[in-house]
Amino acid sequence: MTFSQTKQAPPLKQRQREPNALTQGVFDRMRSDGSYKSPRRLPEQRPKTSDRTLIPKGKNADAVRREKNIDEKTQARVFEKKIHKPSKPIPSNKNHCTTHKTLTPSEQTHLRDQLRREPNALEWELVAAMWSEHCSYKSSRHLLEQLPKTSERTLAQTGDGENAGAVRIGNDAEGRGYALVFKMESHNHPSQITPHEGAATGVGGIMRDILAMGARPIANLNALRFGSLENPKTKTLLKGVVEGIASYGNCTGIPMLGGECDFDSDYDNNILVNAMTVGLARTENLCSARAQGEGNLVVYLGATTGRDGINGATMASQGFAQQEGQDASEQKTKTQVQVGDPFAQKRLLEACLEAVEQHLFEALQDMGAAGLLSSSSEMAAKGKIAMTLDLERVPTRQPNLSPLELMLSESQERMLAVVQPQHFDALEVLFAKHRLDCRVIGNVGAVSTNPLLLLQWKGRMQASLPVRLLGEAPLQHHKQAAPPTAQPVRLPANLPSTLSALQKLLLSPRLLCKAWVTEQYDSLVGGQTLEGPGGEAALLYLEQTREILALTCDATPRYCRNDARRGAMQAVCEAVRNLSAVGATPLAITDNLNFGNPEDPQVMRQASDSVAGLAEACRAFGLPVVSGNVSFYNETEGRSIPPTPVVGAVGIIEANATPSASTSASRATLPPFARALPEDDERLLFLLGAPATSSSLGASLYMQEVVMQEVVMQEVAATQRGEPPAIDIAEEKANAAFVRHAIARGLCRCARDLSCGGLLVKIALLAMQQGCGVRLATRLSDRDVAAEAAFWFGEKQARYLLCLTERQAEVLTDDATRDAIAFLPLGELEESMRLTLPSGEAISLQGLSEEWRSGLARLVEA
Amino acid sequence: MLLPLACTVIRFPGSNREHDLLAALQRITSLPPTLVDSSATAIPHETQAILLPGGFAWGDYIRAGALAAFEPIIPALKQHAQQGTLIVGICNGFQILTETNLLPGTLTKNTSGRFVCAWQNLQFQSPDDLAEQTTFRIPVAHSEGRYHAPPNILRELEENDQIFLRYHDNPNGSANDIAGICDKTRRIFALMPHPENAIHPFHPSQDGLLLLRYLLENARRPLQASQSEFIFFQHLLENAMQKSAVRQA
Repeated sequence: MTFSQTKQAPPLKQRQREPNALTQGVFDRMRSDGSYKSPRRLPEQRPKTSDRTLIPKGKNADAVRREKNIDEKTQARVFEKKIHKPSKPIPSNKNHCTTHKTLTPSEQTHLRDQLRREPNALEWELVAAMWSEHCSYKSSRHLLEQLPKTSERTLAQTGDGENAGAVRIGNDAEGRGYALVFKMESHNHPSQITPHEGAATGVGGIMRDILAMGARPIANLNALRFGSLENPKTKTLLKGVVEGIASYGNCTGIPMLGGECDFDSDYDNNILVNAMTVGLARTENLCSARAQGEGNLVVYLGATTGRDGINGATMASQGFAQQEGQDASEQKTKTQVQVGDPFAQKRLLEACLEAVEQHLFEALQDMGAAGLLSSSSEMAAKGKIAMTLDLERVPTRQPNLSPLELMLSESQERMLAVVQPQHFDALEVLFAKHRLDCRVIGNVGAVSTNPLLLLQWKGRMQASLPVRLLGEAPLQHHKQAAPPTAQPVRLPANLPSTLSALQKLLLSPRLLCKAWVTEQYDSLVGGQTLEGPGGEAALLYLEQTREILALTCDATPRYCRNDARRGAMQAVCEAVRNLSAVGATPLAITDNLNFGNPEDPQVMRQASDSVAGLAEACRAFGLPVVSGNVSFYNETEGRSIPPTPVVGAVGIIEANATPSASTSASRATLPPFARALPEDDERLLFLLGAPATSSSLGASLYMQEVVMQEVVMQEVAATQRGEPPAIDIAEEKANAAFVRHAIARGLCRCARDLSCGGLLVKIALLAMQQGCGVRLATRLSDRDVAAEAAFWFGEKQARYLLCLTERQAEVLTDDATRDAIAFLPLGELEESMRLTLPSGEAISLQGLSEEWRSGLARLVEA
Repeated sequence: MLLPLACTVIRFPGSNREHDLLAALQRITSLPPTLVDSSATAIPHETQAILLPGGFAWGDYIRAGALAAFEPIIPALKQHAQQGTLIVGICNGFQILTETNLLPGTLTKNTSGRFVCAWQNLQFQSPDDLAEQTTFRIPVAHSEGRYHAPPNILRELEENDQIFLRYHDNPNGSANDIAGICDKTRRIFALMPHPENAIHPFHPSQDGLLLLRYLLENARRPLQASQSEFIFFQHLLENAMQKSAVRQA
């Protein structure tokens, strides 16, 4: 009897009379609450020996060996006395069996207390993997509670154990509702070790999280942080990471719409690779990770299981190299990085989406960190339901995988589903069409208060662990240091001229044109891209709902280093500005919090401050954080990265009230949005928001790239710790609303937000991207050098640069006066490629633009 | 004005621009295009134009298009080629057409060694000078798009006006700036750029519609007798060569 033939799950008693291949011997020991009891057979019923018995029960093994002249090397399996105590597994590769050492003594005690017995070796390892920082969030779970997680649009969020967050958007022509599903996830450690594979599997992993919600991935973004480009290793890492992302993302046919790529020596030994995927689903098709329905089948989907990525989760929960030097440590951990196959992912994607469309899944989950173990136990925990897995049924690509390896393997392109028995045939046919494995590996037990995850292998019970225990590692409250006190900015007397500072900034690796990176990503596949990489926010047209989706991701570690709380708030503000600058209303946020070692009180303080800042800003903007990821242990030899809370945000430009009858979208039928570059008649430059003052130079790019480099270092050490610019959320909200309103009324079609580098940098970038010049005519009231530097390079928040026609400028000036919002004319764009300051000083943008465009390629290829 | 043309798009496992292509065809032809999986063995009989979309058929393992050339649909494709049905291969489709020997030469890794996704200015060369527009702005997105062929083949392509599309600013190191070629009979066209990604008013250019239209209009031109004989013999020869290769193996 196979599972596919079972039409309806029979009640428990019937099953006991008629055990099937999988449940043989399990169900008759299973109680209705999911726990199971040992079989009670009379001693005389038990067979004592078989033809394979070497050492009969009760005899001294050594004595028997001597007596029967059995070679020491002959492998004998010594059976334990009690069957209900899971037997000792035989790991085929002992090197993999080291994780349980990562459990602290108190965690070990907690585990024994909860189980009320000594766990076996396999159980130790399983618990250790699930209780690793990477899987359990044991150091951050209590912090994340402060984040707002829902709004009236929220349909799902990761705080509930779902794979990604989902928010409601509009309806299609037939009135069916749609949801955006998105999440951001880090793959920092693997990318540091093997950049190509690490980054590729990072992209693959986050895509499957979106897929597990029943959504079709429609856009990818990524936030990358590398070390200084002067470090030769950075070039290798950059090339590998970008190539990895490109190879995986391009092959799966999902446009990569941009993100960030930044360089700072702080990341020399710990690069950050944060990948975000956005998916689109019909609301009725949204899937859950909640396993349900006693008697339903647990189905393994996708690629086969191998030995790749075993203990990846544990590896990502440690820093690199305490004693032995980083390279050696990286070499050692290479086997813990998985290898991705984008073609398998593409097939898995199409197969799963077809199954979602046919409503074949009861629950769906991807196998990510800690592989089959975390996916099965999380599904069971969410449904409060027992689950039995027969590990021998797991499709493998290598022989002799031990139960531990089968459970912890992080082989890619795999999903786990709960399926009603009557749907299995259809599912099998569908997956066969896509040439993918689809195999029943277990089934769902009864609902109970303390359900168990039961693992069978070779006909014997190998482990029996309560799913709740697996999912809830004891919290770790690490010590927090006192908050650092940032000092106000002190500018040295001898500042360089405005134009030489501008040149220096534009040619710094962080502002150089990133085309070398973004051209390797297919940003056009799908044909719906309105704005790809390079703008403030990426724009994608959603045919189904006739809306425009806006996406961005941001972080300013420069600020966070000096004030983590303000830095995190700024990241949210910048994301809101990026979305507002294209005319989109922000809907929700996903975060990727990257920190150093949480056992360091200072790092823990940074983490706690960052989350507090994030929570405060999100509350103020009314934005829920529907999904997220925390990455700790980004440290090498005790040196941690600066706190890097990356914020990914989605916004929407709602459809026009009256949809046009024509099938194709023209600019007229599209809702109004703003682009990054102006049309020919939009020549007037305006600053929306107040001019920057010297206090906004703190922790600015100007400080880091110009002052630090040119002025006597000693004097600068203090100034570098300047306070980041102040955040005024009320001002942010007012200015964002003003810009969005202007765009919605068609009064602005090109807007940029001001952040990294300040006003003059954004003006120069705009001119260089457009291939034109600019004549600035603002009269500065104060001719002081420091005030001038602050005006042009200060990173005051809540500001935008608008390109307007004369008519638009007139209307908006009136509006701004009415709303009491600072609105300052700056000058205008002109044909000749020159940038002229109000003082009359000028530089040619021709050569600078060439250098800016090719700069990154030159640095990388050098 | 829409072309009354029955188009079939073949989807290979790993194709990813088939929907983009279908969307473009819907804006060019009056008949709805058909989507056929490469696991099928037949192409609808009434098909007037067959299009191979972009993507990564079979993950581009071994070489782009190498495994796709063994899909069950390929014999039917070759048969249609023999009958003179118009065939257009885009990007991965181009790679598949060279791998199936329906077009000469091969497409290999870009000189940069990297994937490139960028808008390109292209020069269209129409042998009969019927085209009103000859420069197009259309994006490329590929990592194996460098056209390569022995000098005699390149010479032949030049002499017979088979190079119908060239890059202004060669992004991949392609020989003779080749972006697209056709066969001698002008029934099989292939190009690396993606006209299907330049069709909407919100795209930076809508030139893709016009270019695809120019290519599809070839389907309506009568096939000359000499051309069809040429195709027939070419395929006889090729089948014989393949059979002998199989026997040797």
